Amino acid sequence: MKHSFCLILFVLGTSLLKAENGAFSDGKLLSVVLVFASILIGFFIYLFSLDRKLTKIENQIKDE
Amino acid sequence: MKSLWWKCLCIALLLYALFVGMLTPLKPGILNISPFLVSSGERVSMEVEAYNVEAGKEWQAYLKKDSLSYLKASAVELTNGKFKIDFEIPSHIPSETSLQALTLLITDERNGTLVYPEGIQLKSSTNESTSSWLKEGHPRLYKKEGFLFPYRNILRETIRNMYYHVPLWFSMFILFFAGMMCSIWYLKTKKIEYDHRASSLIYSGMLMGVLGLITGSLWAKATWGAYWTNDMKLNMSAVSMLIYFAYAILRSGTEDIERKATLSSAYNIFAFITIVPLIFVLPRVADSLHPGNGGNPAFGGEDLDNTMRAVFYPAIIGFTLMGVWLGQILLRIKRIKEKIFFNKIDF
Repeated sequence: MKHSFCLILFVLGTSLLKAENGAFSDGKLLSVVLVFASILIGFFIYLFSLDRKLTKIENQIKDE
Repeated sequence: MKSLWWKCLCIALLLYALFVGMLTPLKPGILNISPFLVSSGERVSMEVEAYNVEAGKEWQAYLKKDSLSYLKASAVELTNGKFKIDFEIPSHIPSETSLQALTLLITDERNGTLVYPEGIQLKSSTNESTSSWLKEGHPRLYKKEGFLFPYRNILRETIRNMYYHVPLWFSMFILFFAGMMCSIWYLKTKKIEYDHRASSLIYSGMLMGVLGLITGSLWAKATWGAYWTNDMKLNMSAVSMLIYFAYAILRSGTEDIERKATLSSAYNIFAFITIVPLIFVLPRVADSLHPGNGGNPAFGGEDLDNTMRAVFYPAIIGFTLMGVWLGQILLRIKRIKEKIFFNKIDF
């Protein structure tokens, strides 16, 4: 989680460095950043659902 | 430790795809041309906006009609990323049609060749022949050396999405195929373990597919101008996602474990067989905006050159391993659930 966050920051940072030659305005680089961010968000949502499943099992074990 | 190596490989490949895919610069290219409409016999001074160019050694510009007819520019000047190019269009145009598309080529030893295919429309009025088109053959065009991604009109920087959008679909397909094999194996052996494997692979494959739809939609907005078009491939991949959603519903709707496993395994085999023609055959038969479909050129040439392959193939392996990893965690949860609650709780 923490690492992925660092990665997003890294990608955004490097992209901003490139922005001076118009990578964002002319080059449509924002689309690439959005695509990668959406992939990460998808993985996070999946991880959260796994997390919930595990919590359920843990609770059930505790109940018995 | 033994099972860890492919997870490390997965992380390494995805990081490689991210870093190299994002940080490798593009080759120089042409953003737009004005005026793009020229007529025969006139002296035209064009303003061409360039992308990613550096100061060149000696710029040359050509208008290309076909592989035999080139027109050399009389003057080329680069200031602040903008070219000023003068052409003296001959009064005679070797063609029957009154309007035709010309390709603009700007070349330099340091920057390589900037191409804008069919970027200029030429209006010709019939006149006597005083031809000044180059006839002696191909002019000298330079190639920029180094590890650089190709610049494509319209795509521009979004060509990098090739490493994040396309591998998702590849990995989805590999995961679905593996899931189908597990389903077949379940039907053969009737061991519930194989049904768990199949469903875990299908769920992580579905994650990849849904992400593929979302990322494709974002890419389409940047290049085709809309989040969703009536493209055959888009609609059919959405339909195939729905087919797999039905798989999830079928599983959650059946209480009995054996029944659930048998039904969903059989359904899974049919689902995979259905999505092959939906995604691979129909878009090729009908029309599609995707490369490689409906008359569009497939991967190859400048769309996927060797520098891109060096990132694209590792990305496919990386995303597939990621899918297997995510599926494996789900599988282990299912195994634990079964071990502990098999006799007490329905799941």
